[in-house]
Amino acid sequence: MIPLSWYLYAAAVLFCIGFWAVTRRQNAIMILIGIELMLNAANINLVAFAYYRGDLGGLTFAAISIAVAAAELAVGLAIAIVVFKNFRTINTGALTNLKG
Amino acid sequence: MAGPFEWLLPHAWVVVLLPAIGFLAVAAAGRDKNRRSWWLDGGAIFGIGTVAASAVISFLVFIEVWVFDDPYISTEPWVWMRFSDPNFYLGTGLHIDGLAALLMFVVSFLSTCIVVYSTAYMHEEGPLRRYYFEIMLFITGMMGMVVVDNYLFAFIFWEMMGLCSYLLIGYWFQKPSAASAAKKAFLVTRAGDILFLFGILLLYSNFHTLNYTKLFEEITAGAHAGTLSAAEMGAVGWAGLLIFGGAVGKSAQFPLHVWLPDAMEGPTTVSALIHAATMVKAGVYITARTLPILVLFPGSLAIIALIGAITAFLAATIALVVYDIKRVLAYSTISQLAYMFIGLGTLGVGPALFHLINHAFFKALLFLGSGSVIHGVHTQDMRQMGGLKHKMKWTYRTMLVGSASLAGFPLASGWWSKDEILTSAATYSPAGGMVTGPLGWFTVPYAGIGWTVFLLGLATAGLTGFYTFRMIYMTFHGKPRYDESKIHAHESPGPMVNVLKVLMAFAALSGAVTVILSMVYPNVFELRIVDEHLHGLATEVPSPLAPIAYLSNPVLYASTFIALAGILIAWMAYQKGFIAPKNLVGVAPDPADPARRVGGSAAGRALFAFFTAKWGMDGMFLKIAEFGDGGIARASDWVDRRVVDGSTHGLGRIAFGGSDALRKTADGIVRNYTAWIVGGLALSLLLLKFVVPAVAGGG
Repeated sequence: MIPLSWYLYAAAVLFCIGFWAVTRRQNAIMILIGIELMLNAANINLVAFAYYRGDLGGLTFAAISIAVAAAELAVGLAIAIVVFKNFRTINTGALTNLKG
Repeated sequence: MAGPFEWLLPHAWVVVLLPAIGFLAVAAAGRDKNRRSWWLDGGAIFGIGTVAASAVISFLVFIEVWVFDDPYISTEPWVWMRFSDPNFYLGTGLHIDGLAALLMFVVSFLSTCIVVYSTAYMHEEGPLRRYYFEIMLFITGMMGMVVVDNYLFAFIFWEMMGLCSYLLIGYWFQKPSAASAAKKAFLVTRAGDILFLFGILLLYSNFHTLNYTKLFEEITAGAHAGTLSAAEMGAVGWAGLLIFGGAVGKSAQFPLHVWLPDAMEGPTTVSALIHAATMVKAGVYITARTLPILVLFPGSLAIIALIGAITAFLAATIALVVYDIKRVLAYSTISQLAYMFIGLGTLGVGPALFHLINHAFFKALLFLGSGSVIHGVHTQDMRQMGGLKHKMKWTYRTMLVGSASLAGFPLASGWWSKDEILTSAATYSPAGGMVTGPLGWFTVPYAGIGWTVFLLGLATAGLTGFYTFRMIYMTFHGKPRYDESKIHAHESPGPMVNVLKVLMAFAALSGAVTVILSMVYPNVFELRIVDEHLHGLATEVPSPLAPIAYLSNPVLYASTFIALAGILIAWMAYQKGFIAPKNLVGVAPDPADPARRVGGSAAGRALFAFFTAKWGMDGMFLKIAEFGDGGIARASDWVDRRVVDGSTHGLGRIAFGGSDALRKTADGIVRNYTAWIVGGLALSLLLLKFVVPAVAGGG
């Protein structure tokens, strides 16, 4: 049987990749993908803990999390489209109108 | 000994109440606009009525106290406020001894004369209701100060007079010079009043009473029995000097004399009443009142006499070069008040108070006479007068009598008292011949001080004769120096001239009558005025009662001779032209700036400039004010700029700088925001994990 810690390491690696994408990439789409990766890393943790504890609470949370992630992605992509329409770019490094 | 008016004495407070009623009546019923009658305008009739009634009562009290030797000192005070300690109350009784009765009579009589004179003089001058209102309040204050039996109420009434003096000097407050003179008078006298207040507090904190009788009895008995501690004796000594400090301010003595000449910005009637005849005498009164304390310290007396002598000489020299007729009289007032302090400082209490009455009459007369002159020629500058002798006959005659008295012309009233004061200065010597200054700082033989005081007093007698008759000759004699086609000099209206005649009679006779009185009642001044604690200490002065002793007094001849010499020189210089003043002091090409002169001798010009600059006293006070006030102003400015403004500006700068630093983080780059969020989250988690448990202490 695969130990729990392997799932947790995998999830942690996935989270770090997602965090790296969010903080280092400039393309809005890539940032959204990074966010998805981080959410799914959390989902893996939830499912792994649910399996090892033998209750369904974690699975339920994961299902809800996937639904919320879908909704969030829809909003995020919509924002990206609007930004592209206005600025002809989705490079967040160039979108500095709020610079103080 | 009880006299016919004994029943009046316990009710003598009426003399204070009556002017107060007049004051309220003027305030309530006086009208400025009504220009029909001199007697009704501004409510003058209320003032005259009440003051005249007060004067009549005061005269009866005076007769009772002086002729029948029946002083009245109330045993049970009228209490205004009572406190838990039965000895501590605010209230006063009546203290009508010879000194108070004399002042009551002189003040109320002169006030009546001057209010009557005012009806004519002030009629076209300004708002009459305010004038009478303030005059009545002043009379209330002066009468109150004279009759009360403790220092606290004396001080309250004293301040009331100070306020009225301020208001009346600034009567024409639209004139900047009058407004600033009022301010100057108020501030300078306030300097003295602070000292007075400290003296009172010192006495109260040591003896727990301010009642004259109790205080003097306790102190005199304690000092003679030696039961007072050294600290208490020190307090008494300082209190005496501090109270004299109040007198220095009020009576315009060196170095606080600078306010009185400027006070001439007020109406002439005010100058006559407040700044010559009555209020400035308050300082002499309170010093005479305090003598039982002062006499324990010959050093204090020497200081009083010395200040008197310096003031007398200084003021007389300035009066030599002044061209404003009212200022000549103002400086002579300072000089004559100083004579009274010389008298008090050499324990010639009788002569000092004798001079006080004489001076009150002749100086009021001279001021009202100068008011009449000003009324006639509409200027105060003696260089634009001259030849008024024929146009203003009665003004001339009355002023001549007043001047003779002021100059010490033989048999005129000022002659009697001035000689007695100088005699007292010449003969007084404290026991042991040594005086010790306050706190025992120095001990010097009295002889030097005594000679200085006496010689300065003697020199002043000559200067007085000169400047008085210089004024008379410049004003009334010679050729008119005003434009006769424009100014029609005329004799003043009835009430003014009549008051002048009444005052002339008093000024001419006050000396002789008092001397005759002292023949009927031997040593009347010494016995009535001198406090019983001083009996045996006050200098015996030769009186005309003993003609041989009187006529063998060399001081009499010396001062008479010097005064006559002064008059003679004035006559030669200004009437006959034997001595041309311009040969000595040159001429001023610009009349507005008499200190800048050409011709004459260099020494004469320098002296003239020195006297015109008032011995540099005003300038020195300005310098002190600039140094002190300027220093405080600069310090306040520094605190305002650096501390107050600095702290607000500093806070602003911190806010700006902080926001400048912080806005760098808001660079608009989304991933950096993310980094901040994640970093913040991580920091929070670390705090939760490590710091919070450590702080909460394992709970």
